[in-house]
Amino acid sequence: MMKISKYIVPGLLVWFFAACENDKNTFSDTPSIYLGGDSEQGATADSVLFSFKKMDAAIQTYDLNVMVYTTGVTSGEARTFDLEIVNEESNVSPEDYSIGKMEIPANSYYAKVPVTVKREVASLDLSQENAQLTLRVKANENFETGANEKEQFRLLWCNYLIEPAWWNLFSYYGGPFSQARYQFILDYYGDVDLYEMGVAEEGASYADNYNILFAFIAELIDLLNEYNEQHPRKPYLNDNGHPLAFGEGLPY
Amino acid sequence: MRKYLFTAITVLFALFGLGSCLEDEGNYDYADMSGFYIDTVGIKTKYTAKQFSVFELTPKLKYPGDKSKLKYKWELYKSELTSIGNSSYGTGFSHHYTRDDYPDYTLAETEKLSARITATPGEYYLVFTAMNPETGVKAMMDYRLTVEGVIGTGLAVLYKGASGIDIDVVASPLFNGSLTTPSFVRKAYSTVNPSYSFAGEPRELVVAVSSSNYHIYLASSEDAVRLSSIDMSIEHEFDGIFAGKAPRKKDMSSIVVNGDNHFLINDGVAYKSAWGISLAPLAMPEDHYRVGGGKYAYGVNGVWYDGLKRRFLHSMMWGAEITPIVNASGAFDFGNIGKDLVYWSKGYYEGNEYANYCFFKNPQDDGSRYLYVFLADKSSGNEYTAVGALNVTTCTGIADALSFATGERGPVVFYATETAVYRMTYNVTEGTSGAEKVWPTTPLNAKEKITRIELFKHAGLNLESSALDKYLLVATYDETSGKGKIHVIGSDISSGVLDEEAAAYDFDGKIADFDFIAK
Repeated sequence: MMKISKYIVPGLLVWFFAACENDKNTFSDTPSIYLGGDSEQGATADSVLFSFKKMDAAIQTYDLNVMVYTTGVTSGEARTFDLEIVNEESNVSPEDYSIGKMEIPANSYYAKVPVTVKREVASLDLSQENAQLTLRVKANENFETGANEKEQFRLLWCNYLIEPAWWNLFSYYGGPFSQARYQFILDYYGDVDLYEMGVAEEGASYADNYNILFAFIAELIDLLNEYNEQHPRKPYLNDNGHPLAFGEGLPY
Repeated sequence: MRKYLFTAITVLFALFGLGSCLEDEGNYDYADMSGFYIDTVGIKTKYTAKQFSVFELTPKLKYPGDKSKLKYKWELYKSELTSIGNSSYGTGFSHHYTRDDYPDYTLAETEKLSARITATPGEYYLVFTAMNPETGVKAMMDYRLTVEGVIGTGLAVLYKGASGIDIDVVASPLFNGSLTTPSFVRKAYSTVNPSYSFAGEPRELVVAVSSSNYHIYLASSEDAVRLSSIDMSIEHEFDGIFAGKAPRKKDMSSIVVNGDNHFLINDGVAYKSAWGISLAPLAMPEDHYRVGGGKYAYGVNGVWYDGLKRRFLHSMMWGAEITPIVNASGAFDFGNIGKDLVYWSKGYYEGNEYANYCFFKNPQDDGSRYLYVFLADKSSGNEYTAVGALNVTTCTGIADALSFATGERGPVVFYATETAVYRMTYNVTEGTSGAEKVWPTTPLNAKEKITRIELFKHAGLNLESSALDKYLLVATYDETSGKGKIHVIGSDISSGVLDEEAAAYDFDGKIADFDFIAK
């Protein structure tokens, strides 16, 4: 019995003293912030791309949302935070945008910060290229910077049509994406979403119901025929200046 | 130390053993059935009922008390088995029809069952329960009930009688070897769809059966629907037949089915389906068309005749377009026929059952008739072969022909006027043709007119050899009596030489079309 005690007692002492070790982990009671996009606006994890092209010409500005999330506990008072422009990853000037109030509301974990962007950017042709504004978290008296991979968020906007996700279902049977082809659909058929039409599940690469897809394409062909008949010798042109077509296996 | 340990263990085992001496008093009750049961001695437990019929059954319930105080329930539960087994109308089958797929439900709450069975065809457990509400004691009995489809298999015949458009189904031993006598399901359409009377003149009845779909197309000059081939209830009304926007005008014709690939024409527009039976329109880039006939080619593609520009067109299974056939070779130019289509069907040419037989007339009808034969067993319309273009004007009565029939197992072509059926003799390669009257051998009643002819286009069921093309079906109509008739006449599959009339079936109206329901 004494022999056993000789081993057990030192072991217990070592175990108890282990509790005295200073915890060196990275936890801090100062909250941090990190950035994200508004999924309602089609944002991905690190960026959002918006086009003015589908909007009425009278609309000259648009609010793109940046989601600013906090770590730690909420506060009973509003807390300001700072964002800075990453110049090397931006191509716009301060007059091309304005950033909303940088404040986490009281008792909230996050803030939705509107960044108002302009349809016209002096230094860029937005019908051909994107405007880009990259924001980065900056530490202040209320917040530290958070996770590295979420400290930046990129806002991109343009004035050309962005290829919708469903176009991959349409491309082979209806024609590759082009500004003119999509614009014709928007102008003469309407703003469509092939996922909502039942062609396929959201995000799917292959159609579940080809008959709906083919019925849609057949209607586009008829609409294009109708347009061209109403505009003799002035057919609807594709981006390359050749007459537009809808159908299977088109090269452009 | 060991002595104490041994004593403690012995005491524990002893206590454990004494536990078995406890009396199990339980907490449940025994009920005295006192003669409350269902007598199963010598009773029948398997029954068959036609869907929509009234089914009656009286259980041999034994109860010494007042039966009126018992509570009763008859329930129908779906069996795990899907086959409905043998049917007096031929081979039964299971299906995926879900429109009226009844859930398990209570049929009646009386001792004796008398209920209209509306459940879809299949095998069911029919469960009878009698319960004493005072004691909660139940007596139960499981029966098996097979619900047979109203229709079964047979020749579905579309006609219009005094009460409107309807369908009869003839189950004939000529087409089903498991039958010994013919039987009929009369007015199958109106019985099941009493509130949907079909407008217009009847045009087409086409059975569309594949591994996953069982339908019957029913088209008139003013409407079209898809029926369940099980019970002929309307499964898809006109708008439900199409993918995308439904056509504004109801004018359906030329319905052709190959598995799940359906083809049809509505108001001059060609429609086809791919991997599903919702039909999508076909559009022609930079041009217009108005098709007057169509068939499937190469199994899944479509070949069409454009009545607007009098040319053949082609469509692919995977595409939304219909295009002119411009580079096909042979005896005629597919892109410039220049004639009006009279009739088009599948035929036979030198062992190839993919041959197409098209009868034409001139746009200004001068009585001339032409037979164009081409092969369409290639994936591209431009690879089709025009094998012959015959002037068949000299064939007796062909200018008055109102119906045609072509064989797929031999060079057999019939055509019919109101009073006679003619068999053509022809040589596609040499371009020669002639015809002789082959039916009726004795004149018809002066009031009885031929309305349609067609070779039987199905292998049949449970037959020693395929019935395809073995019978020429001649539909006649007597305007005075308002009665229609189908004469079933044996026909040699290779030569079209007719045998004696094998059967004749009567109908309550003028026959427009017929097709065989095989499942």
